[in-house]
Amino acid sequence: MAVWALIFSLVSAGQVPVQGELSSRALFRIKDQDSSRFSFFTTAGSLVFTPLANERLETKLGFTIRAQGFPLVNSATQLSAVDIVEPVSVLLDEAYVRFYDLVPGLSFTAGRQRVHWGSADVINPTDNFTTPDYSDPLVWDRRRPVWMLHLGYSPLNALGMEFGLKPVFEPALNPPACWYDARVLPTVQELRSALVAQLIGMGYDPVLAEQIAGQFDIRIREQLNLPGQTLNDFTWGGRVRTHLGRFDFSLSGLRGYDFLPEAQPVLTADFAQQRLDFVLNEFFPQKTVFGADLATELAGIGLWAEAAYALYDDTLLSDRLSVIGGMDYSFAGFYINLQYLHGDFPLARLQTEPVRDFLLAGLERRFASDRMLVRLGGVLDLEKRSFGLIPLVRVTPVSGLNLELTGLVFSGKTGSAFAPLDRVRELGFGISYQF
Amino acid sequence: MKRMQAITSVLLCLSAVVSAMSGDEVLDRMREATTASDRRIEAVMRITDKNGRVQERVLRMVMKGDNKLLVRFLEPADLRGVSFMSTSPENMWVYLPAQGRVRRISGSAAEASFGGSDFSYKEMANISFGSSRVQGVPVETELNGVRAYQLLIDDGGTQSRLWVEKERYLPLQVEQLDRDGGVRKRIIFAEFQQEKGVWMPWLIRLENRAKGSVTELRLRSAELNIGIRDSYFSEENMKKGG
Repeated sequence: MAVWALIFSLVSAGQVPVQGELSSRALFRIKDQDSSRFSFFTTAGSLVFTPLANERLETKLGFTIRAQGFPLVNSATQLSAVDIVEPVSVLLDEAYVRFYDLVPGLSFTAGRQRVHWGSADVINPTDNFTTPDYSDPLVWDRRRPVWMLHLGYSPLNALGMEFGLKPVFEPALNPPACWYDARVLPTVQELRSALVAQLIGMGYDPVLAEQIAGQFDIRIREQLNLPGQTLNDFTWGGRVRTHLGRFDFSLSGLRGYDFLPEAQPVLTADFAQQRLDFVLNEFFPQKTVFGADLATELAGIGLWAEAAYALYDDTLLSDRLSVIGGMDYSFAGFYINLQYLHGDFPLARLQTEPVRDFLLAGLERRFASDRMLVRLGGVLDLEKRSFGLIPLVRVTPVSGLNLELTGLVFSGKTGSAFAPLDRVRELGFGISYQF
Repeated sequence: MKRMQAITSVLLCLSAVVSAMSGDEVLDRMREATTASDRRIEAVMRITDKNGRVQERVLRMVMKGDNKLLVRFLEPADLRGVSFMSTSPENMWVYLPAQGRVRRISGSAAEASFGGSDFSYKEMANISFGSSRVQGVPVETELNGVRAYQLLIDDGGTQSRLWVEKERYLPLQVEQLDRDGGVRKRIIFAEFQQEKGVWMPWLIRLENRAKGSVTELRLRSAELNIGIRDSYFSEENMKKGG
């Protein structure tokens, strides 16, 4: 309370610079089996205080108050629970103390911060410190800050190195269930059908198999284990970067965890007790990641490539190579961006058998002295040919104020990357103001 | 119209006097007169579009020699923390705090608008004429009643006419030419002040003929020769205050 009073009095006195953003976005589903409804709604206010910022020291405190989704009330009793009627959360954003030039070129940051690695757009396989935030369906590259210590050293302008240590693991934030229900558990009916098939396979008559399976007590459970808080569970890693001529290079190594869990199903059938237990054991795989990235240009075309090789501790998981390569180019007022990804794409990652080859593309043009942006972005699953398209028009009538009209079009057959969003058509409306 | 322009250019050349100094000598003298070892500048950028609408930006620029530059936007809110760094004409990067990442600016994007202004990234990177190359011989002429050298320069593929004041070797005006020889942009340097033996224009005005807009960069404060190291121009420092 005293801290808030102090901050308020300093801000009131104009001694603490403050900046912030107000934003609101709604998605309206116009076509789907579950259509003509708002599928997503969020309103947020962010404030960032910078009590101290000079050439040697910087302190920052930021937080976001976010109302996301709709009232979750399902009984009259819950009308007295304000957090259910108004689902509002407070998120702590960056909150750190940063020292510059402890020795020339050396900076040290302690606290909640964002550390970004990698040269590619949107998807960065080498970026494994900060937590992905997939909670907004239209933003695929947002990251939550994390608690960590970070050391950066640039002895020369062409040479930089950094080291980070993150003691606390925070998993990724997924899209809200009202927009995308990542179904990971089977239903009782599905398990009963599987049991019938197994009994028939064992030689039972189909009718009898149905009768036996119908008497089974089927229980489904999900068990998620978070990483511990021992020294062995810390995430730590380093990166060296340089540029030579027109090439930017970096090499990195990191010991840490996947941000989304792996699942291992365990099915136990007790025919004597007529009981079937399905337990989905979920855990965050520990891994060591070696990464490399580069960025350059050739004949005016921006080029980049980024690769990460993840070695998993769990012997049941195979080691994984993720690669992304891309280009961008500006011509006649247009900007085009193309990327090939062999790796995890945020929405597709939620599938049980993730598809891993994608083409990402974006074409944009600005009009009216840059006050209007028209963009067509999309992603294509190269294996199963499912796709997502996101056209966008953003108008900036005055500096800091943005109005957005967006479309969302998904298509994908069963087993493809975007199958859960098949035939989804949505219109999005957004407004934001930065001050 | 183009024929008239060509005839006018020829007549102007005939009436002017070819200088005894070489173009490189004039350019070197200009760099000597205007380049500090390093400098830290705070400036207000005022952008007026063709409809008369005005936007302002406040930025801090740190320069070393004539090719190292780090610019950080302090205002408005939607650009605060965005920074731009250049260490040579081929090496330019931009830092976007919302993404938390530093991006290399490719050749095709170098012509893009710098912070919504009429300056491009490429023009900002060459604001001290560090990568300008002279073509041909300088011509002695007058600009607004001031005796000057007129040079034809190449700024990495863009041809420009540069007027350098004859007495103090100060840049007066640059006209960027399009393929047909017409003026695409005009940059006027004005309100020169001398500090620690270095001349600095406290007003740079860019007239964008194609868009009909004008950007003025007016200095608010300047510190010269303060001992900035080469390593200041690093990715770490781009994020400072971001």
